[in-house]
Amino acid sequence: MLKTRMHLLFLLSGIGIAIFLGIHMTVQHLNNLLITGEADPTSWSSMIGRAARESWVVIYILLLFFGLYHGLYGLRGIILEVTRTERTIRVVNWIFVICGIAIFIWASYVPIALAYG
Amino acid sequence: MQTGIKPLPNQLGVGGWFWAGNYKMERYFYILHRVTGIGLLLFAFFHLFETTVFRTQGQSVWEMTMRFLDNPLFEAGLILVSLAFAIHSLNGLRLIIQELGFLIGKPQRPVYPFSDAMRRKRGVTMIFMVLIFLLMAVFIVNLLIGGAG
Repeated sequence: MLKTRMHLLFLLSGIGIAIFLGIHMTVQHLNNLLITGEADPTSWSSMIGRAARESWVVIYILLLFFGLYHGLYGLRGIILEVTRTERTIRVVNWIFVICGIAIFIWASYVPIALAYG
Repeated sequence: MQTGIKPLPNQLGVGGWFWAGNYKMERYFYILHRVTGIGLLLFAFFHLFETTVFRTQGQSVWEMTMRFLDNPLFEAGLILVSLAFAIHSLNGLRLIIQELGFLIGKPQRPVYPFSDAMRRKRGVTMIFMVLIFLLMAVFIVNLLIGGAG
């Protein structure tokens, strides 16, 4: 049951990434084509402006969660396809869980600190 | 108690991703999906590092980083990432639709010549291929207009 739920979350996180990365790409990387894009999205003032808005903080953190989960779960599947011993599975699972949580805490702390700090 | 899972027999390893006999189109999509997925994950870690570590150092470090990244090599890399995103997301959506059983049709009695589910979904696959190329074209036109952004 846990595996089924984890796999379902993997699928849902893929849809989440498509939505939130779609927003991110449209605003920040298709700026030459679309009027919705910012003129210079990588400038300090533009980046700080986005960082101060709560909607962007929410988008970044959701994208971070979906992206990390989807990426690490996918990579875990590829690794376990090649080596499949019980010990390897346990070690890989723990490494991915610890790395995932650590990266999530650090990478979500930055936008929160910029918005409210 | 489970006593260890043995490696699967006849495994071809990473080489089997690229060639293991008579591959169909969907099999190449599978390889592309896997390769683009690993590429996107590597880019995501690089992007996370850049937008967290350098962002917290202040305006001068941020602007220096942006100047360093503003060159044709990284712009080409960004276009590759955009294309990988287009391929991975649309092919992933196709896989989700198929895995959840949509657009597959009802079970039928097998009649010779047998038509498997993969062949029956060829139309859906072609639609997703067209969408992938359209999305790629959007990113390339955006680049031609004025850089990767």
